[in-house]
Amino acid sequence: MYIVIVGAGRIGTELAKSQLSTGQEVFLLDRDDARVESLRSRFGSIARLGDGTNVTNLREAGVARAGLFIAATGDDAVNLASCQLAKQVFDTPRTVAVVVDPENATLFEALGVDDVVSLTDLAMTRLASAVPAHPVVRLMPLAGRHREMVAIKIPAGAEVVDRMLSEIILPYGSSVILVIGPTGQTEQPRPETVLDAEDEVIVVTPVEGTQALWETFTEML
Amino acid sequence: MKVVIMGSGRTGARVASSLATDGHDVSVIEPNHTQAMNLSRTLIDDGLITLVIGDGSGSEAMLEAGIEEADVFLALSGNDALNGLAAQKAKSVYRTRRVVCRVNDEGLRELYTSLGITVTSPTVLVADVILQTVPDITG
Repeated sequence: MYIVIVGAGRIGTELAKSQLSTGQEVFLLDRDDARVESLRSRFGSIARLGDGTNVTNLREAGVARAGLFIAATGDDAVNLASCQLAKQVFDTPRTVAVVVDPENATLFEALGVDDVVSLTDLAMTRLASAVPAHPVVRLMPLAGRHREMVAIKIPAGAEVVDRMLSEIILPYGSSVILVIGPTGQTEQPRPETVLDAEDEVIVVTPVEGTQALWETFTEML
Repeated sequence: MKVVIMGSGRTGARVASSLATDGHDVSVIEPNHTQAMNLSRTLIDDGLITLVIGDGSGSEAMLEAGIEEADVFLALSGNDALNGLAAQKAKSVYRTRRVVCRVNDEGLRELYTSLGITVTSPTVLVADVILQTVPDITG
């Protein structure tokens, strides 16, 4: 597949490298001369100087025959504009935008970008799970951001400790998909699975149920 | 009318002063303190222009500027893509009735127009005015 990437910063460059190694045809567009030169000296003519929000530059990069278009500059507004141009002008089947402001994730999807990757959300997920007493870690959005997968650690002394899963009333639409013990052993949840302190539950839930879910698993006796 | 303007470069500042003097309720969002100096100090001090220092396309600044009650949103910064983002946000998130976006790039002008946003282009306007000043060669 032919993939066009706008923005040859770290993300764009790493992405291009990984795609090239799997035999995909990749082309990058960037406003910075030095970045373009460095890519060309390493990989040949896979990059050129250009503005992802300019139709002529996009045409020259061959967006018309791209199966996938990825906007990965550090500027959310530029990423939106270039994905919208790819869709509207060149009918690109799939567009992906990277965003820094998490607020833009749902907005950009509503505005027609096929897939939005929120850097801040990704970093927060990793950071939150690195903090010892993390409350609820949002692992990933699902089903067009209406649902999400979250991880919740059960504190010692919580009401749910020593209870079977079938006894615990979860918010509507939520289901536990995995239980991870304190030493990392995983267990497929069954109705008779008994929860222990320090267990981590992985749950898929409607986003509006996340707060209630957290309360369910962390409320103290 | 309640008008929210994004960007206080020379264009934004001039539009803001003019609307405020005509009695409209004007708020201006500007991320840059130096750029904000373009706005009339007197009009701000008299409460005729509300200045919000903040990210032009961020909800926080837009809400503080009163976007929810605004009749008109004008995206007038010098950055086409930023104007396009803010304008689409005003239209789709805050349902602002009239949204105008300043755009120079021709391709983006067509894109935003097709999305139902009123687009104005300084480049085109200036070119037209220049051509009008030499009617003898333009006919």
